Amino acid sequence: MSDAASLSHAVPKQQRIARPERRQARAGIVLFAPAFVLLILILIVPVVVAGILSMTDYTLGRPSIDWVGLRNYVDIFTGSSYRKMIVATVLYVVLVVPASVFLGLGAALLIRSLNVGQSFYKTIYFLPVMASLLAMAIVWEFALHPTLGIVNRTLAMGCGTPLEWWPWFARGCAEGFPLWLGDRDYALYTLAFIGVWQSFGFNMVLYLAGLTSVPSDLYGAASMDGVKSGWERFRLITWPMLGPTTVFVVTITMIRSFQVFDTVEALTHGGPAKSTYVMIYAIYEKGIAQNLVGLGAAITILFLAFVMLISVAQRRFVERKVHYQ
Amino acid sequence: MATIQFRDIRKSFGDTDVLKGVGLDVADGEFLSLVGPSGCGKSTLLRILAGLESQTSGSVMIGGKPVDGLHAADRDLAMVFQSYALYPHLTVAENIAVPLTMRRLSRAQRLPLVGRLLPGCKATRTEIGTTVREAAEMLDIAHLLDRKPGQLSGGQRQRVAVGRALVREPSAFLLDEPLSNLDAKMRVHMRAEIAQLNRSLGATFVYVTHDQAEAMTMSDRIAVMMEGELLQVGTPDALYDHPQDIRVAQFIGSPAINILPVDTDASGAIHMCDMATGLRAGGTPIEHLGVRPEALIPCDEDGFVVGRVRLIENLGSDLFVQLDAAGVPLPVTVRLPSEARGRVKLRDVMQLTADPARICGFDVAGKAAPVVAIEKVASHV
Repeated sequence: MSDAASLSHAVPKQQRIARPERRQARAGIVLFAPAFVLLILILIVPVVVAGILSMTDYTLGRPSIDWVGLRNYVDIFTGSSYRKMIVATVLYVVLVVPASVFLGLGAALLIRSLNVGQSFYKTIYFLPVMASLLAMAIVWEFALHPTLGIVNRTLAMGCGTPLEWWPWFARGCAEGFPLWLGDRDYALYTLAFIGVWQSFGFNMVLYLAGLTSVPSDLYGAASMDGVKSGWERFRLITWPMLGPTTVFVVTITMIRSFQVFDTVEALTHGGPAKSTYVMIYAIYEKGIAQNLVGLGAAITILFLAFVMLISVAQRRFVERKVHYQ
Repeated sequence: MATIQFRDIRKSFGDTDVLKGVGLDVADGEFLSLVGPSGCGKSTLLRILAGLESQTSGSVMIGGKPVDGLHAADRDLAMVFQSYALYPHLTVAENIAVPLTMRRLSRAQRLPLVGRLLPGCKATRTEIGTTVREAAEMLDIAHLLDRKPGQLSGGQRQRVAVGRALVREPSAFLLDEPLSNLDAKMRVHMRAEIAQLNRSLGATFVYVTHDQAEAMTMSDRIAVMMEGELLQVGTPDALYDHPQDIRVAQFIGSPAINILPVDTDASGAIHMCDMATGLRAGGTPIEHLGVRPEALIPCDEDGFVVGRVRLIENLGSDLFVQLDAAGVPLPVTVRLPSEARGRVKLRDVMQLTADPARICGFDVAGKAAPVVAIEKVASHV
């Protein structure tokens, strides 16, 4: 009887007060709404606007806008300067990513093996990351100056020594060493070198963090199992255990290399002969310097597509293979 | 199969002495436990034996040969770690195979892709596969061979770690607290299995634990370590009945031994709170008496421990009664048979005595000293 009484009480109560699940759901919506609205306004809307602008011939200050469809994109893929842009960007990424990832890993491993001076080397290698690249670019410009720069003057000191057996060096001594940033065959490689110099310290820090999470018992177990050489230890434990770090480092470095701009703007302005005409510089030149907003937007969308592709590839294919749970 | 000898092993980290001259012999095929509270240096001693750390001074011999300076890989030992230390990116089969691939395949044969094309590689790999499967079947984990360690339970990981250790048939097994990450039931189960493994393989086992119950149940002999020193080495029975040091007495046994502070007068008679105990020191003056809970016997008169019951723990098979006794800082525990249930009540006053043969005496330094019963003849005259 008491059961029946309590049941009859429970029914009207339930109607008056919403069930806790419902209340929690409502609170959830209220709490997440501001973030969602901001996400739409700050991230999604600009991309959509850029997408729409990329289909027009809009230029800043001109009153009329004409819908041109995919013509901006067709221009990108057919024009020779745009092809140079893709080549320069991809080449830069292909040069910088492996070099700075492996240098970062190597520096991290070497620093970890030190008993003293760890923080000294960490600071040294991290300095270029912290320094303003624009300021550093001026230093590089001086260092790479064809006649006054320290690079070519140092190379010239090698003339007359056995180094001349190296044909490239001999040619440099006879006809002068390269102009570096002023030579279409060298400019992109020089920029890539500066890019590596600037970014591997950052990767080193990420790898140092990754290394601390490798359980030391694993190295003990490997020793007991018969692993003696450092290389075997690296292959059996360090490299697989750093998998998640490596995926992150490669993705970050790739995206950052796609975004290279400051050295190009400071040192080469995309030249010589558009050999360093990378994507972000192209966006800047077309969209801002020349006011060709529609074309700039099209390159922006293309750039976003590249970055998106990398992120998706990271999530879909790689990350599953490096998390072992 | 091998004997193991430690000769005056010392280890210091900076100014801290972790091991202060440990000497210990382990017989061939013996199951020896190194037991002690955390921080006593037992794990360090094991790691020195394994070759994962080096001693500051002293020497380690395996099979009669000094192994100091020898790489861990060359000592022919296998180790099971507390964290299991399985390679998370390899399957169970690959994990167990690592010690074999490292030893049976040449460096070139171990190379990815290319190595498989080299002569002899395929045959050796097949052979390794068979050995791994046999080991897995022995440990009842054959159905898990394709899984990754992350997909296994604690007990299963434990077995994989054991499998990886025994697949190579090393001369000795080192186990560093291998059961401490398991739940209580699994721990009891694995305890029996590891002891069984020692008997069936006939290999020397050195087992590190802080759990005296593990050491007591599994070992042929136990070495009790404290603060970097070896206090006593002996069979579980010897350690339980005749502890050489008051710290050993307190560490071994659950519930813990009762330590009773006493005085020894000039004639050698032992008093507790000015009450004669009927015992006298057989040599050096006695500062403490140790009596196991089951050695205490309730009596009606002449008991040397008198106390009031403060707690009764009924375990079904036994009854543990705690008394607040005069002159004893900690409660005195006495184990009574289950028939005593209902007969003892809270706040009852109990008198306790004990067979002098089962009373341990400790001198002022905490070392064992003989205790004998005073002849009762005098009182009759």
